[in-house]
Amino acid sequence: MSNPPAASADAAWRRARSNRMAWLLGAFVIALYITGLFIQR
Amino acid sequence: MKKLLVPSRILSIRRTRRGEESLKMYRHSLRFLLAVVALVTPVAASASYRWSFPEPVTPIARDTLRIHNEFMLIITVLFVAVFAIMVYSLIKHRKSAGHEPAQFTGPTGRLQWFWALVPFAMLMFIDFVLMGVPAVQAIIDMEDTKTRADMVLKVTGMQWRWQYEYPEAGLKFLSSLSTPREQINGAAQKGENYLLEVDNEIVLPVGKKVRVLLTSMDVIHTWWVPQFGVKRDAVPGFLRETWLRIDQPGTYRGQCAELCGKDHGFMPVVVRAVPEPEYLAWVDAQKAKQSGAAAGAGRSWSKDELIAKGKEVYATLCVACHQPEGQGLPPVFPALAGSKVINSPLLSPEGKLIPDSHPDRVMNGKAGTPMLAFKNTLSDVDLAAVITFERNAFGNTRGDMIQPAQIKALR
Amino acid sequence: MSIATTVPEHAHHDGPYSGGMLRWLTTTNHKDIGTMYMTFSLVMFFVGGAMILAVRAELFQPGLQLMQPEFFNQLIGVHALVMIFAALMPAATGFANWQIPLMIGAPDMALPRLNNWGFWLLPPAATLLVMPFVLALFGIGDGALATGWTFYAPLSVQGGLGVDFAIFAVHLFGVSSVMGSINIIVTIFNMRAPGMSMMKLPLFAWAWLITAFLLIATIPVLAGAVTMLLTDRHFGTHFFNAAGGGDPILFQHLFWFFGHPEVYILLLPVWGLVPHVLSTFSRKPVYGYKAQVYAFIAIGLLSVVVWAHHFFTAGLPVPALIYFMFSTMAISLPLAVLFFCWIATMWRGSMSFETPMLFAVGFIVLFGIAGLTGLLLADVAADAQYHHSYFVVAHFHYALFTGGIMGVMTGVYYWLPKWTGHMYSETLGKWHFWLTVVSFNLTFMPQFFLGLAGMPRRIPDYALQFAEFNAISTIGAFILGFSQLLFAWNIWCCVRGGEKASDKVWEGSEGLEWQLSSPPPHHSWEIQPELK
Repeated sequence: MSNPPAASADAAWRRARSNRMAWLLGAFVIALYITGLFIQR
Repeated sequence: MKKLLVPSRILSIRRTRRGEESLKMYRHSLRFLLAVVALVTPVAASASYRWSFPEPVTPIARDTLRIHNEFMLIITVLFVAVFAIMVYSLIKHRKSAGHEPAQFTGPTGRLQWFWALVPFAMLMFIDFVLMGVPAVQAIIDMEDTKTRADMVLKVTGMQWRWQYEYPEAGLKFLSSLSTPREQINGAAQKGENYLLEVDNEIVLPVGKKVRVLLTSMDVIHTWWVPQFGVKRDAVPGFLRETWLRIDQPGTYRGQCAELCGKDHGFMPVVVRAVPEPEYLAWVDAQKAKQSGAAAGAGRSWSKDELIAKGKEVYATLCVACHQPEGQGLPPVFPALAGSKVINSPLLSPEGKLIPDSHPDRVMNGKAGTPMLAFKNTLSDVDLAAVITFERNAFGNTRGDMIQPAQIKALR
Repeated sequence: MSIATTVPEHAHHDGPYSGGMLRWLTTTNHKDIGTMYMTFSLVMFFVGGAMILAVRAELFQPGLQLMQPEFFNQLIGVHALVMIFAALMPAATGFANWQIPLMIGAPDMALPRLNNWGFWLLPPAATLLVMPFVLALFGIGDGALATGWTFYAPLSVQGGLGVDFAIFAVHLFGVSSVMGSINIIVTIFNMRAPGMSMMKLPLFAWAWLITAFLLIATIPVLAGAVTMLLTDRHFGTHFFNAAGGGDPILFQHLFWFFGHPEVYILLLPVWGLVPHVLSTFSRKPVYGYKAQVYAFIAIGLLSVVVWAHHFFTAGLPVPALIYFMFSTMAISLPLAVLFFCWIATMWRGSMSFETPMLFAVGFIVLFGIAGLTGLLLADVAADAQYHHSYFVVAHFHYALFTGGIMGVMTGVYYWLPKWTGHMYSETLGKWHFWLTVVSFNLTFMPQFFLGLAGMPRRIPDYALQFAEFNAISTIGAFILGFSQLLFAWNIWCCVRGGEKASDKVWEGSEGLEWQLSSPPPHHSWEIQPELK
């Protein structure tokens, strides 16, 4: 099921920016998790 | 209009509509306050109740109580001051009292900046100077375990009792809860020191600085005696330390303060502080008892003697997990009745330890489970006794027995 | 903040919807998802509450009357996990979902499908948490985790399959929170109406922005810690085992690095919504908007550098003890700024005391007790007496019940008319408030004194000198628990019907959400308003 087309150019810009930001934040979270696994005494 | 609880002329509030509103609020709050007082009075009246720390008997405890009282005073003043202002506002600045709303959103003018910033500065001073400075000194004193220490006490936590050692005197013994199960289950009247009594209390000399070393055999426990003001974690595989100098003779009780499993609430600490000569006499008496027990390890014991002794050891140490009839609490605590481990050969034909055999289990524990290596806490006699008992009880009919001397050879 | 807006004419058209269960399973509408979060939260609140009532019943008198210690230990740990992860956090997320798009003039959240996934992870997570109880009834395993919600090693390495279930539940709760947080950050950054600069963002949105950053920074650490616990348990690692070169205290560092920010995660959304309520019922603009924003940021930053105050007695070096004491005390400063601004918002206003305002004022007073007793706990020397005693239990319930839960109740009463289009019963609301406040104090005030008198926490039975206050606390707890049924009943009736609510609902309300109808149209701000 794909997304409906953006209602306007502004909405398209917001959607693209949101997607990029979301992936970036997600990558940050995963990086933190994996780093944490290597913390030892 | 309902009758007012307090005549308005006493409060000199004019009987306007606004006045009625104020009085209604006052009446409600008064009733509310009376209800709270009525609820709390019976409790307050029971004079034995405590509202602060128990009586301190060490320098640390005294320091802590003083700090607590100072801080309580500060926060009470802060609370009352701030909420007096708020309550004033709640009463004065009400729509029903006809108050019109102001529109300010921040400090305007010098005076208002003053009212905004001064409390902030005051709080910084209260936190970092008034509270912080005495606190730092107290921490440094509390952590200074080594200067001029007179003796060492080693505390080892285990599930679910304490082991105490006096290294210089060569003493080592277990201290377990001695409150009978019937009191806990409600089948018997509870004693005065319910849950705060042990079979072997520790004795310490008054007026001497004791350096306390702590560790654990299994999980994290915490040794806490409120009247000493001392609480320190006992961490497995590490040595922690604290210190105390008890200033008055007496018996002081505390508990484990870190969740350590099912009997976390049932491993108390009992310390009896006595003048030094009495302490030294106690040490001698304990040493004699221990060597007497050790001497017993040399001789040959009859099966009945071993079983009788083993029954006592079982009732103190093993019953919590393996239960009075040996039925256990599977799957975590296996049943001893009809157990495969018990109903197997005791030793190899040459008299050596068989891995995963009954003596191996009792002496060396089982890694990854709560079953401890009891060879570190039980004497040869106790080990021999409890193993023999288990092989001849709960429907187990191995019939064999093991001598303390054989246990000694297995170490 | 005054805003001139243009409201779309056809604000009442419904979107395309399949009915029934499928609607709820597949919805990407922020209002529907918000409703699901709130409903889930209310149900789990009662589940966690029932558990602790059983605990308090056992603690009514000395002796073991109702249960064995193993079961007691399971109840207290699962109670905490349920209240924190399954009641408070979902409620705060429900508020975020409902309110943020409405407040910033957006048609929905930025990532609607992620929103749906974030919610639907929760029912499985809650099931995993509670399932070990059920399995034990059938003889599989020996119950839920019995280590307390803090999972300390090595006790948690020892524990049965309840620990594994809890680890997986926590992973799911964590992933759900992270998804929600990413959505909230992205929505606030990208979906604001034209003219709404960051410094015009409503305080509730600011508070959630900080909360969301805290979540994505600290949930991975919790996830890491419980993963390491899982591998210590089953795959032969020894992160927390001295015999293998590890350290049990490492677990405490990792856990509380998450755990301390977590309490601010639970509280910040409340601190964000309370100014809205105070302003509305004082008929006065919010005081100190900028100061409160900076205070939120300061609290967020400080919260990640104070974690060790949760284990002062574990044997930390002296410089560490002194540092953590001072950094912990420093948090009182931005918090004092918030208190100041709340009271200054009320000062010289024109106040009325409808139920949301009652809860907001009650929150300020009682949460003040929490904050002040926190100052006591920060002192390392005195903490030797307070740590792991009932003093701490009382402190954090004053913080998390009066702060977290009463804060949620404030928000629910405030926004329920907007969400449902009906007014709730004000009489029932007032009864709920007074019963809650009185019984809450009856339950937890005695616990401060139990701690001072020397009663440790997490014990199913206690020495005789603790009997009276435990009895009082239990009575209070039962009244508190049953009073919450009034809340549930009020919400139920309000959802079903009631006096019609206007768009504005409250005389003094300000903000974009009050410009939409009650309930708001299907796509909320289908045409974005323009702020002048």
